[in-house]
Amino acid sequence: MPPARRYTKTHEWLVQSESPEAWNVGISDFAQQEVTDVVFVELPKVGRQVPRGGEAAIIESVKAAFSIYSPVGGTILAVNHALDGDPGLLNRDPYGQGWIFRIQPSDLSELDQLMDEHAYEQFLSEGGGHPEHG
Amino acid sequence: MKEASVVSPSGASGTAGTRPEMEPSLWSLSRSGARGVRPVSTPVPGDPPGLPPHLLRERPLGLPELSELETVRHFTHLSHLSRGVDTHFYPLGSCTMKYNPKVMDRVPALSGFSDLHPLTDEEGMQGFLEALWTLSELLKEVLGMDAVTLAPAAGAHGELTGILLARKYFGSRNESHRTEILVPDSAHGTNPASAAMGGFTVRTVPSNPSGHIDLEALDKTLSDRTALVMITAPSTLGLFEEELSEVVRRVRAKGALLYMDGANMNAFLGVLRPGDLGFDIVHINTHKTLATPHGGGGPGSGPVGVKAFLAPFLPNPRVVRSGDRFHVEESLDSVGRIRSFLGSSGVLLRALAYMRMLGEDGLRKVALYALLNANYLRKKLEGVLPGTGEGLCTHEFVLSARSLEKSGIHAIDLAKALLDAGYYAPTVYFPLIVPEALMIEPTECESRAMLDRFAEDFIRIVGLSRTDPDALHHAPSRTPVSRPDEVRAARDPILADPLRDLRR
Amino acid sequence: MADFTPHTVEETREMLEFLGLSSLQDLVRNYPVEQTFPLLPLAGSGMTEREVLREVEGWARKNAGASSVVVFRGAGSYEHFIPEAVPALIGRGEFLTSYTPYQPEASQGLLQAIFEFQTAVSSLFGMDLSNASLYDGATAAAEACLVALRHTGRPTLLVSEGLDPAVVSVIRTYVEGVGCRLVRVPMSGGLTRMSDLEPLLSEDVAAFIGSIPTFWGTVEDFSGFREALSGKGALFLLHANPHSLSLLRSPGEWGADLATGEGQPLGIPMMGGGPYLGLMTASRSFMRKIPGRLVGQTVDREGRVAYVLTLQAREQHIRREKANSNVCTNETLLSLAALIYLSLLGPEGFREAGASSHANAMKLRKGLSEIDGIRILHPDVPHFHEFLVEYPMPAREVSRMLLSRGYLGGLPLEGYSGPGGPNRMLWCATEVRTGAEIDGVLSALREIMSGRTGK
Repeated sequence: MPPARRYTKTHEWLVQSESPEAWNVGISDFAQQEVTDVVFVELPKVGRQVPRGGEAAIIESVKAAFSIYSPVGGTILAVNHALDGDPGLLNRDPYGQGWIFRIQPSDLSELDQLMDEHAYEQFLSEGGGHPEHG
Repeated sequence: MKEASVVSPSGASGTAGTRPEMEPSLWSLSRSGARGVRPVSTPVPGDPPGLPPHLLRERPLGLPELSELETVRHFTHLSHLSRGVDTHFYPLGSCTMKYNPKVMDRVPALSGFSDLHPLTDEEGMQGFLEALWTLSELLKEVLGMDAVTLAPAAGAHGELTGILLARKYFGSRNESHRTEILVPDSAHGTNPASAAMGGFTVRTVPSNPSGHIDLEALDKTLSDRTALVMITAPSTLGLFEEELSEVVRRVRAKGALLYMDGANMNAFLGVLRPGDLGFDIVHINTHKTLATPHGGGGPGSGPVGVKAFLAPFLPNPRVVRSGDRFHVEESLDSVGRIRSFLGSSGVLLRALAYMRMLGEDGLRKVALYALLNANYLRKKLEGVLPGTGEGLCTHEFVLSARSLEKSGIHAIDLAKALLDAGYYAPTVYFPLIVPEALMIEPTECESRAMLDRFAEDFIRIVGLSRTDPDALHHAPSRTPVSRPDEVRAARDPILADPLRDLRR
Repeated sequence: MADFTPHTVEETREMLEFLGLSSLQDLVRNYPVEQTFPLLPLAGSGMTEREVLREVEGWARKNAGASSVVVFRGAGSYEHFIPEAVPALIGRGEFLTSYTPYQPEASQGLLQAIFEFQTAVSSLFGMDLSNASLYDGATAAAEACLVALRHTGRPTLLVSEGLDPAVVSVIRTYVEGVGCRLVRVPMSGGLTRMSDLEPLLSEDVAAFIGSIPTFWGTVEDFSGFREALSGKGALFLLHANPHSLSLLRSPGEWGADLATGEGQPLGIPMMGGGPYLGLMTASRSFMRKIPGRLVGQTVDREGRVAYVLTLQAREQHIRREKANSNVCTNETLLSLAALIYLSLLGPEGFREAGASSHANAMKLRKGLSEIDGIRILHPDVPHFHEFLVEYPMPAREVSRMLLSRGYLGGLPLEGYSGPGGPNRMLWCATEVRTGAEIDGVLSALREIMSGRTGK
C-alpha cells in the first residue's frame, strides 16, 4: 500500500491525485476480496455533489450489491470509465487502475477524520466489519 | 437419449456422473421455409389493404422455422433438462413446493372459464363471478378477515396492494405524515422493495439472537411516522414470533397498521387466522399454500385480506353479490386498478378447487403435516449442522454450513451435491442473517420414506466435506452442465440468441 | 374428502413418537394457544375430485365463453387460435411444477426456454433485449414508466389517449406513490399528433408513452417522436399488442427506448382476464435498469453452453428497498406458452394470422358501415383489427341484444372518456372469425337496427 492513502471504516480509500483539489477514491484490497468478482460498477454523474458518507457509486458482484460511500463531501470531478468495459480492474488493481471516481473535497478538514494506513490495518485486524450490502 | 432424471440416490461420489446432453437452440434447429401449425386455411394474399407502407414493419420477425414435430421434440427435450415437484423432491425453503393435484389443472381449462372474455356482459359471466366470490368467502374465513381482493398477481403484488391500502387509509384520515414502513431484517426482500415502490421510507427492525423481533429495537423504530409494520409469521427462520401479541399491542398503540406476509401460511393454515392475531392486512400466496403450480416462477396469485375499515380502499374492479346476482363494480375510494382485469382466474379457480376438496379438516391437516414433516426431518439432521432456534420448528428450518468453511465447503457445494443425489436443492444463502444458510421445507406432501432417504443422503454429503471435499467442489456431475460461469454471464450479458438476426 | 398427505396412521404415530410428541396438536404448542383451531364452517367437509369437478362445471356452464358465443370483443383480451401443442407442452410437470430456476444445473431446460422467449420477444418488438416477463401488459407498462422516472429523475409522464384506459389506471396506481404526475396527450381524429405532443414537452417530462395500435384500433404514425423526445431528454415508450407486430412497424423501428405489451394474444387463453403475460423489452442501454428476471447465456466449467439467471443484483432479493422493482414471481409458464406459440406458427404463420385478423376486421367494418343508423368513426385512418362505431342508441343495449342472439359483440364504451361514450362500441375481429360468423353478426345487427328504427 503506497503512503498518504486514507481509509474509511466502510473500506473506501482516498488519495490525492494531481492537486490538493482532486482526490481519487476506490475500495481497499480487503473490500475487493469480500465483494468477490465485480461484474458492474454504477458510476456517479460528473458534477454531482455528494455529502461525506453519501452513496456515490454501487458495485455489483453476481450475488450482491455494495454501496460505495464518499469518504469526504465534495464534487465529483471524474469517473473511471475503464470500469465500464472491465469491471475486473477493481479486483486486479484496487489501488491503481481500479479507482472509481475523483472528487474535489469541499472541506479539506474532513480528511483528518479518515484513518491512515496503519490505523486501517489495525481496524481490520480488530475485526473491521464487512462491507455493507447496498 | 436426453434424460435428466436418471440419477440414483447414491450419487455425489467422487466419480464423474453421466451428463444428459444439452438441447440445441431453437434458432439453430430452424430450417428456412419450414412450416409448423397453420393458423388459417385461406391466407390473405398480398400486402394488407388500408395500411400504408410506412406503418408496416420492415425488420424481419426473427422467428424460428420448424415443423410441428420438431417444435414438440425441442420443448419435450427441454423439459427433460428441468426438474419439478412431479419429478423430484423439492425442499426449497420458503417456496412451499408441495404437490399440485392434477384435477386442479382441469378446472381453468373448462369451456366457460378458459374461453371467457374478461369484459363479457355481467349476465354472460354469472357462474365465473360466483366462483370467484365463493373463493373470496373461503379466503375470508381462513384468513379471519372481513374482505378480500383477488386481484394481486403474486405475493409481492399483494404486498404492494397492502401498502397502497395503508397509504390511502392514512390519507383519508389526514395522517399522511406516516411515511415509514418497518420491516424486520429477516423479511423477504420483497417487503422492503414493495414499501419503497409504494413511496415509503423503509426502516429495518433487527432480530434478537434467537431470530425473533427485538422488542426494544421495535420501540426505538416505531413512531408516529410509522404507517405499517410488515411481519412474516412464522418468520423466515421458521419461528413464530414469541411475543407476537406484544408486537401487535405496541404497533397498535402507535396507531400504525399491521401487515402479515402470508408467504409462510403453510405453517398455520386452518390452525391460526391472521385476523384473530390482530393483523389488519394479509396476503396469501396461492402458489405456496393453496397448491397452485409454480410454473417455473409464475403465474402465481396473491389475494389480500383486510379488516372491514380497509375494505372501501380495495383495488378496482371488485366482484359483489346482491341477492343471487353478481356484479363487477368500481369504487372511487379504491387505491385504483393494479392490473388490467379482475385477477389471475386460471390460478384462482385452481385454488378454489383445492380448498373445496380439502374442507375444514383437510385444511388443518396441511399445516399439521407440514409441521410434522419439517420437525421430523430437522430432528433426523440434528447434530449434522447447527440450526437456528430451540424446540420445535414450524414448516421449515434453517441450517448453517459455516462450520464446514474450514474444509473449504460452502452451502452452495452441499446444494450442488444434493442435485447429484436426485433432489432439487434447499434454498441457500437465505435468510441473509444466517451465514451459509440452507433453508429446508419438506411440505406436507412428502412421505416418511422420502424424508428418511433425503436425510441419509444429506448426512452422507456433509460427511464428504471431511473425507472428499473435492467431490463436493466438483458437484454436480450428473446434471446437463456443471456450474455455469455466472461472472462471465453478468459482466458481458448475452440475453438473446445471436442466431435470431440471421432469420427472416 | 381429498387428501394430499401421504402418511399412514402408523407412520404418523411413529414420527410423533420420534419427536417425543403424543399428538399432531402438540406440534403447535408454541402457537398463541387461545386462538388455535378456529371453526371453519364455510370450508365444509371436503370433496372428492369428481364432486369438485361437478361443482365447478356448474359454474363454468353459466358463462358465455367462446365455445357458446361468437366473440367480436377485444379491448385488451383477444380470442386467437391456440395450437393444441401449446397446452400439451406447458402442462409437462417438469415445467408446470418447477420453481424459478435458481439452481441452474437442474433447470437448464427451463432457463434455455426463457432465453429463447427473450430472443423471440425482443426480435418481435425490434428491440435489443427482453426480460423473462412481468404480471401483465398493464403492470409492464407501469414498470416501464417507473424506469423512466428513475432514469431521468423527472416527475411528469405524458400518456397518449390512445393507450388502453385500464393500462393508464394501473400506471396511475403505480406512480402515485412516488409523487409523479400523469398528463394526457389528447388524440385528434383518432391519432396522437406531434402538434399536440410538442407543447407539452418540457424539462419536467420523463417520458411519453404511446400505443401500437391504439386502444381504439387506429394505427399511429410516430415519425419524429423519437427525435422530439430525446431532444428534450425524455424517453420514448411504446406499448404494443404483439399480435399486431406481425404486420405493423415495431417499437424498435420507431426508436423506442423501452417497449411493453400484453402477451395474451400469443397462445394464452382469455380466461376471464388472467393470468396474462407482461412483456418488457428495452434497448441495451437500459439493460441494468429494467425490472424482472433475465436469463443469460454463458459457459460451464468445461466450456459447455449454459444458461443462468443473471444481473440479479438489480433484484429485490439482493437490493431490497433499493431494487428496481419488488417483482419476484413472474409469468414464466405463460412466457413458455408464447414462445411455443411463436415457434409453431413461425414467421409465415404469424404473418398469416395477423393479416387475417386485419382482413376480417376490415370486412366487418365495411359491413357495419352499410347498416342504416351505424356510424363508423375515424373512417379514413388506418386500423389493425379493432375499430369504433356509434349507434343512435346505448351500445349496452345493442350488446345485450347481440348476446341473446349468440354474439359477444363489440365492447360498449359507456364510462370511457376520449373517443368513448354511451352510444359507442369497440369492435374486434381476429383470424378465428369465419366469413359466415361475420355475415351472421351483421344480419343480427341489421335486425336490431331495423327493430329500432321501426319503433
